[in-house]
Amino acid sequence: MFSGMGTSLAIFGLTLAIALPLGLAVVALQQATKLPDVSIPHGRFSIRKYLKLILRFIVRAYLLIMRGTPLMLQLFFFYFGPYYIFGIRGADRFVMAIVAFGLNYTAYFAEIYRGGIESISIGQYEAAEALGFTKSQTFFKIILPQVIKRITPPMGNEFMSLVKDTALARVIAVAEMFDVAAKAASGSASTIPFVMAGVFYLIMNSVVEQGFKRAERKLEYYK
Amino acid sequence: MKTNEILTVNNIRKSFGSNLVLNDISLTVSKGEALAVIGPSGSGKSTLLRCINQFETIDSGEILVDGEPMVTTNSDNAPVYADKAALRKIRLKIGLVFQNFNLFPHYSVLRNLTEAPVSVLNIPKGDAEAIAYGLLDKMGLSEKAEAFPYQLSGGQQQRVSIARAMALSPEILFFDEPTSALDPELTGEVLKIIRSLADEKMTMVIVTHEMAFARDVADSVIFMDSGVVVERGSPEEVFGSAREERTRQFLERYTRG
Ligand SMILES: Nc1ncnc2c1ncn2[C@@H]1O[C@H](COP(=O)(O)OP(=O)(O)OP(=O)(O)O)[C@@H](O)[C@H]1O
Ligand SMILES: [Mg+2]
Repeated sequence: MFSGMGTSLAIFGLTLAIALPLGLAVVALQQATKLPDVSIPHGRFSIRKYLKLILRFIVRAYLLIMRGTPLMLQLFFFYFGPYYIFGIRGADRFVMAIVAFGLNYTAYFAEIYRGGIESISIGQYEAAEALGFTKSQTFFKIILPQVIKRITPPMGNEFMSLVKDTALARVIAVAEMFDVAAKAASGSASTIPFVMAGVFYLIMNSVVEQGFKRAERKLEYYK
Repeated sequence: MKTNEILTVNNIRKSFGSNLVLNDISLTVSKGEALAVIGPSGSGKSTLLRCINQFETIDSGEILVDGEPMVTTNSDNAPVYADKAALRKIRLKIGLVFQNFNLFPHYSVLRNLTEAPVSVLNIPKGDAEAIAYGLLDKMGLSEKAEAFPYQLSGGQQQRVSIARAMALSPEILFFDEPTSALDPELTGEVLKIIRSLADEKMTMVIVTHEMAFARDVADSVIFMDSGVVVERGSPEEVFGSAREERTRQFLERYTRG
């Protein structure tokens, strides 16, 4: 049971460690490949522009695939894919589970970040620019703190989903909490292990919820 | 060139697509002068301010700030902007007050005033705060230093935003309809502040629909229509005996409401 808990917690922690920064990187790429809204008339053939278009397409396809197909399918893909596509054997279950979870949650986090960033009015950027802030000062001092406040509630939801989603790692036989409980249940012909697993997820999510409540309260000092 | 010219705009043009928004605009602002810019909606007033404040690029013409070229035009009639460092230097000589304040909501009033001086001009925090308190005192907002923008009325927010721009000691301050987002009963307190800045000979360009205020406070008035400066004169000239028919029509329509 305890090793199952440890594995579930590890999936949760490592997924966040990957997806939180990587999601921001995806948004940065998305913003950097934005085409200007006014089409510039003197638009000669430019490699940069096509590179941008291609990158933009890749980001879009990635986001659609990750959010548009079941995480369970993605787990299978990352675990069996290396063998069926490249004939590579012996992919580590746990590592592949982390890859799948990481890439999947990166997509969801990227969407949340994007929503947060786009909700900041252009006036904030212009005010910062007029006051002489550099681009990076503007982002880190003016934009990011406001984004964090706005994305805290949706992030809370996403964290809670992740806690429950860790149980999916079982489909590639990662011995996480739910897997361990299911095996114990069938071994002892008892439902107690399932109850214990349920309690485990509930406790974890109440900790997550408390954490986010506290964070939201801390950010209530302004509107 | 006269040394007391803070802003020189020569023959600038600016189009958005096929819409020619600024059509050969020229104007100058001297040190200590308060210039009011009036004109109907869509005449290009905001665009003019945005071009001078580096939010839009011009198609041709030149802009000089405090004698330093911000943008000039080459022999092919294409604009040539100064290098990054020069543009930045010019930016810091210019202050801008927005119609809808654009205060930083996550900073206290005091921090709204000190953040740019500290992190842009590297002024020690203590000095920046002393300057900020001085400005807040002038704005009648001393007791609001610790407040957050959402706790202030629109008029108070706009006064903070004026103080925020002043905290960088700009050579010239631009206002784009500073009272248009305010309830009528709150415009007075903001106009009073701008008037006091005029009394102190702060160089200002004020886009406004407040004709009585423009008449009262400005040293000179520009009437813009369809991207051109139709006429420029003293408030008495423009409001009392405008030379151009278009100006008279606008003012008549305006005073009739
Ligand atoms: N970013 C933009 N893209 C395209 N057209 C624009 C843009 N900004 C302004 N315009 C157009 O330029 C013209 C002048 O607009 P501008 O905002 O400068 O007028 P204004 O004199 O400030 O009007 P108002 O009194 O309503 O504020 C308008 O026709 C407007 O539609
Ligand atoms: Mg305007």
